Amino acid sequence: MSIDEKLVNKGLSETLVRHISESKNEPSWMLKKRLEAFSLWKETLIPNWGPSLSGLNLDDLVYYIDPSVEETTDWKELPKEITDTFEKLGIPKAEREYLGGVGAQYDSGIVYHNLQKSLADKGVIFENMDVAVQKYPELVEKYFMTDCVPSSDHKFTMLHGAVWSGGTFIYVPKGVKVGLPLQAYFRMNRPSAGQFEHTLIIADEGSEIEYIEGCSAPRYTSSSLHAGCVEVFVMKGAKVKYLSIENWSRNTYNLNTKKAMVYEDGEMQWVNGNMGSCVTMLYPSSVLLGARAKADSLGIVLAGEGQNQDTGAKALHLAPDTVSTIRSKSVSKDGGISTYRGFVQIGKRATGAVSSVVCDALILDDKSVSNTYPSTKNDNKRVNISHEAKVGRLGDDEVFYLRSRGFSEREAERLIVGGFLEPIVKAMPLEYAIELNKLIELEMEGSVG
Amino acid sequence: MKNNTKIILNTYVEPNAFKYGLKIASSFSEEFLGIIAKGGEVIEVAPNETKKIENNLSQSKLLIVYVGEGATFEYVESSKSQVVGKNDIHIILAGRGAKASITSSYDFVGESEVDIYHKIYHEASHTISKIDVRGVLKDKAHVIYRSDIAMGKEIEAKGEESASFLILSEEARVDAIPSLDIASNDVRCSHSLSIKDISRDELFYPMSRGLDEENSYKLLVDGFLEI
Repeated sequence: MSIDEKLVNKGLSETLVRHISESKNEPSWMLKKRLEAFSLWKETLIPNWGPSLSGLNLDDLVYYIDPSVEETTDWKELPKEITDTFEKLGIPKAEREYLGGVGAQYDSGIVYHNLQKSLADKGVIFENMDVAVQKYPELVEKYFMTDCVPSSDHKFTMLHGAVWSGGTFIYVPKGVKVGLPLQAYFRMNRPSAGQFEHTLIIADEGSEIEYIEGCSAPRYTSSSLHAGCVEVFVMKGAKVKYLSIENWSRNTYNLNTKKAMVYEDGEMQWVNGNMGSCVTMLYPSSVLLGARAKADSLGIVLAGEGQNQDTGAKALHLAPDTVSTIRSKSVSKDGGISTYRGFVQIGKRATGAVSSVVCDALILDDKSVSNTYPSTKNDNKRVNISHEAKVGRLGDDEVFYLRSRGFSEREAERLIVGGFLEPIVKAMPLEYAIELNKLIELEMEGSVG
Repeated sequence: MKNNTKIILNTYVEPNAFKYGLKIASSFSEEFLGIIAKGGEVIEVAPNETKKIENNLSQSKLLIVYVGEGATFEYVESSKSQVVGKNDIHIILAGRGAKASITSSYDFVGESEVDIYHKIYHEASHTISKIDVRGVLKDKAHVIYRSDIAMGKEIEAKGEESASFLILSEEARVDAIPSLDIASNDVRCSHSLSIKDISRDELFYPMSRGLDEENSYKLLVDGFLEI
């Protein structure tokens, strides 16, 4: 692997934070932001709720690596295990044929970036976050970790604020509708490395954008950490669809923060698929600030052996006639733990708010666990809040029916799981639906029957 | 003064909490070790027995119930006044075929401030549980409602949990967390929650039949609470 070994010091210190900022030639306000986040991080304890993070040694991680890899479009440089997976999933093809632009992040820096010219002409900005800091300082300073996700949010946003590196910056000007989805891929290719990419999407008034993020990492023996951050600003009347499939290797702690601020008549749509990593804590949040703002969150989770998938969604209704819809589907197998942890809050001013939460869980064997913890806080009279959850197993009748039609037991179970997850797979664009379906098939191989 | 209705079970364990502990049944694992301070009431339902408790929610209460093999426990609770208090019910379905149900209808008025927690532990196979809670909130009432159905490993069981709240005043508030903790695949378990007010559409029908607004309203609220 051609990575410069000059900075692989483990652990986090002020010197390192200064080094990161210096090597990126950042303006002083960004360094100040990083140092503030770092000092908060030092004082804050690891959260004591949710899955155990005891296997995560924060002192043993490499927080920043200067990549010496030149800009590349060559997927063959990846380790074979991963390219095989990509081949099976048909990613390069999808990338070449369908997608508007692709940014791939190789360890901590972006190595490949491309945006169709027609989009650039309309004023759409699709940049590496590091470059954006240099090229569009006013925009970045105004929106980067300020109102949406301040670095003081929790322990891992503080860490992120101190050592963030790379990621994507998207700005869509007023009224511009981006027809093709933009895509970025993030990968970690180093043992005990942390990945702290920052995604900032600003959809100005009346614009529309769809952004896809895929994440994966090959397997290494010591554990890695992914503490990314996604901030989305959905201005008046804008529409943003954010899709991500996270398939980190099984020793990664995926502690991600995703949040959107949605203004008047804005629409935010989250689609998240989680199948990798050992511990995932991910709760995409939507803050509905303007009247009639809408948030829609779809999530699927596969929890296999040794995995603890703690995911959910949050919706904060702070304005009248706001609407939130949360759908979550989980499959636990081989001793995996899947947890839905959600939060819906209806504020005093959110008269006429409507919120609906639906969670479905499938448990495939007796070793696995499924939990549901939906919280609701309501301070308003004129609301309509509903929540529903179901936990169950594969039906014997369904399996019997398919077997009577000539499917093997394993095929039958795979088909039923596929059908169970279908509503979410359907919400994805074609090439991602194919990827997800194949990922599910790969996950299910040899797991049931 | 210690809070006299404090109970700490599995996930809510504090590090040194157990020193006040009292093992509630030797056949249960450490995990279900509970802390019962003054005011805790333990009820055992012997095998093949049916026990029904009717309670008027009026004060702080902690109830722990063991339901033996083939036994049934029914709990009916109602309230129609201003209440301030905490109400915890833990039902342990300990024997094969044990059944339990909690049926509550609350009509909270004035400055009611209530914390309700219903938890059912399925510790044996062929156990069935049902929780049905309906609440109407008026004036400045504030309710915290939590419920949880926990099913252990290798348990075949069925659980159903439903909570609905009608909010009839601008100042009433409700916070709800209906949870499920499932560690077995041979189960059917569901829960649902709804929080809403009475809409103009719902009022329209009884009013079109000649009732005035006040009576239509009353009719709908009474209908909601009738379980």
